[in-house]
Amino acid sequence: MFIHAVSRFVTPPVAHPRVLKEILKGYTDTPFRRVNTFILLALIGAHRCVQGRTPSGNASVYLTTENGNLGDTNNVLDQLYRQRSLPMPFSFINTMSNTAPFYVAQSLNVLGRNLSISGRGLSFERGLELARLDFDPGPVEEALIGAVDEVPPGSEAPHPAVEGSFWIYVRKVRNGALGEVADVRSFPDREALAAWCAERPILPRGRGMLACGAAVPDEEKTDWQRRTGLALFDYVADYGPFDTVTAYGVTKFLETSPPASLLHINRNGQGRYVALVLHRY
Amino acid sequence: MRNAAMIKGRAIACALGEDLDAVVRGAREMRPRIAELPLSLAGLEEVRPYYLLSRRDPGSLSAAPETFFYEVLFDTVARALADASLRAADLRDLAIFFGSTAIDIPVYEHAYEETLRETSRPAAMVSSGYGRIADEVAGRFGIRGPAYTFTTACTSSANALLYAAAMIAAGRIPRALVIGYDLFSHLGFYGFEALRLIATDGYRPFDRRRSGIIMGEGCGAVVLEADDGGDAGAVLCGGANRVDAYNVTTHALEGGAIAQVMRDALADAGVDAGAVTAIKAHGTGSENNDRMEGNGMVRVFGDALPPFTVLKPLIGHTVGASGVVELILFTACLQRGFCPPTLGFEEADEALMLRPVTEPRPLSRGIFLLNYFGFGGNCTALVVAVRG
Repeated sequence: MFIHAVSRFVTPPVAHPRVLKEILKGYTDTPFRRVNTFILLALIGAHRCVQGRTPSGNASVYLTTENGNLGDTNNVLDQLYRQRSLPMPFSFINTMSNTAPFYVAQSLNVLGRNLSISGRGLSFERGLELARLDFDPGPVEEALIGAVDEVPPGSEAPHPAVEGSFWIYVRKVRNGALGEVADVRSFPDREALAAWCAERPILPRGRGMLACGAAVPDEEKTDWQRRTGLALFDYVADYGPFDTVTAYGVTKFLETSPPASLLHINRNGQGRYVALVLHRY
Repeated sequence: MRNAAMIKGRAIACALGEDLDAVVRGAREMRPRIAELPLSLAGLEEVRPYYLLSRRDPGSLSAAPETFFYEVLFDTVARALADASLRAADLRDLAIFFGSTAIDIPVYEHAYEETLRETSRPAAMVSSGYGRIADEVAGRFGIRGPAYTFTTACTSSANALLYAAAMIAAGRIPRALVIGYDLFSHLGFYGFEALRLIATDGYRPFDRRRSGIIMGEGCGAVVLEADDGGDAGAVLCGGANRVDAYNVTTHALEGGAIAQVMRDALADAGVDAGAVTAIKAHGTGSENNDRMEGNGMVRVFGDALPPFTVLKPLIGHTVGASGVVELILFTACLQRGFCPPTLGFEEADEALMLRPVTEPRPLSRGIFLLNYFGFGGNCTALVVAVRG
C-alpha cells in the first residue's frame, strides 16, 4: 500500500463551523450545507490531501475516529432533554459519524468502499489494517485513509485541546509514491510484541526511527528504544495527547522526515498493541 | 464458489425472544411483539410502535440502562461463545468485530438526562469512545485479539461480518466474534420521528400501503471460523461495500449503486446471479427504500428475480444490529426448513409490482443474497451458503 499524498490539519477548537467552511474554500469550490464541525474537519483534511490530484472513481474512504460526531450528538440531546422538542433532522442525521466519509466521497466523486471505523485508542491503526486487507487480497486499488476527531464543545481538557484531521492517499501502484505502509500487526500483549521485535531487526539501525503512541509510558518507550536500537521520533510532545495524535505523528513523519523508516508502537488501555511500519522514500 | 467463513456459534436477542428455537417459532407463526411508546419527551401526545426486548420492568425504558445494556450484550455473547464450544486458547485469540448505529447512546443520553436534573446547563458530555463496547466485551471474556468497531449506520454490523469473513479467508485471523447491537435510544426514536419515517399503521415493506419503518432492539453475536468444508452449516462466501453518493439520507431511486454492490458481492463470492436461491431484502418499509432496492434487484436479476423476503416486520428495524441479527434469524429459519415470510405484505406497489414471500416457504439450503443499506449512502451485500 503506497502513500502518494499526505495532509495534516490541526487546530484549537473553532468558535463556529463557518470558520472551517472558510478554510475549506481554499481547497474546493463545492458548497456544503447542513454540515458540522466533524464533517468539515474531515472534508478539509481529505481535500487538502488530494489537492491537485483526481482520485479514481472507485477509490475508497476509510475514516477512523475515537469519538465520532460529538457536537451534533450534544445538540440533539439538548433539543430533546432541555428544549423538549424533536431534534432538527440534519442534526440527527449528522450524529452518525459515517456522514463524514459520505461527504468526502460525494465531493471527490469516489464511490468505492466507505467506512467509519474505531478501535479504542487504536482507531487509526485499525483503519490501516482493514484498508491493507482490502488492497491485498481485496479489490481496492486506491483509498483515502483519515483520522478525524473534534473536541467536545465546552469540554475542559487537562491538556492543550486541539482537534484535527489527518489523511493519507494510498494506491496499489508504487510509481510516484512518497512512501509505503509496509506492515500493520496486532499483538495481544507487550510480551508478544517484544518477541516479534526480537525475531529480527524490524528496521536497519541508523536508517530507522521509533515512535510510540500517547498511551505508551515513558519508561516503556525507553525499553522499546533499547530493544530496537532505533532513534526516537517524538511527536506527542508537540500538542500533548489528543484523540487523533497517532495519525498526526504518522503524517508528520511522512511530511517532514528525510528518507527513513518508522516503527510506530501503540497500545490501548487493555494492554493490546499494534506495530506499524512505514517507509518514507 | 468461495467459502470464506462458517458460522460456528450464534446467539440472538430480539423482540421475538432470546432462545433461538422460540425466535424461529415466532417467525414461522408470524407473531411479532410490538409495543407502543409515547412521544411525550417532545411534548407530543401521539404514540409510535417499537419492537422491544423483554425487560423485567417493561414499563420503564430508563431504569438502569447501563446495567441492562451490558446484561443483554454479555448474555448474548456468552451464549454465542458457548454455542461455538471454544477452548480457552481459542477464546483468547478471538478478534472482535462490533457494529452499531447508536453505540453507547442509550447509556450516554441517560447520563445526560441525570446531569440535567442537577444543573440547568449540563457540561458537554465526553464520549466514552466508540471502541469502548468492544473493549468491554474483550475484558469480560478474556479476549486478547484485535477489536474493530464499525459505525456505518444501518450497515454497521453487516460491514463487521464482511471484514471478519475476509480476514479469516485471508488467513490473517483464525476466528472472529462478530456482534451487532442496538438498543432503544431517545435520540434514535425521536430522530426517526423528526424525519417522519416511522410507520403509524403497521409494518408493510414493498406493499403499496407502506407508511414507513418501525424500529426494533436487537443483539446478535456469531463466532466465525475458516470453513471446514463440511456438508452442514451456514457459510459466508463473500460480500461487498460501496457508497451511493446521491444523498446523505436517501439512495438514488434507479438503484444503480444498489445493483452494483449486489453484483460486487456475487463476484467476490464467485457466484452467478442465476445461482441465487433467495434474497433477504433490506426492506425498511420506506417508499424510497422499496423503490431503490426493488429497482436494484431488477437490474441485477431481470425477469429471473429469485424469491425475496423482508424480516423487519417480525423483529423491527434493528438498524446497525440488523447485519448480524437478520443473518442469524434468516439462516436459523432456513436450517429449520423454511424461508421466513414478509409479514404484513398484501398489495404490490404498482410502480414495482414485486411480491415478496408472504407465507413460510419450504427451503433449507442454497445460496442467498443478504442486502443492507443505510444513511450516508452506505450499501453492503453479503452472500451466504446454507447447507442445511
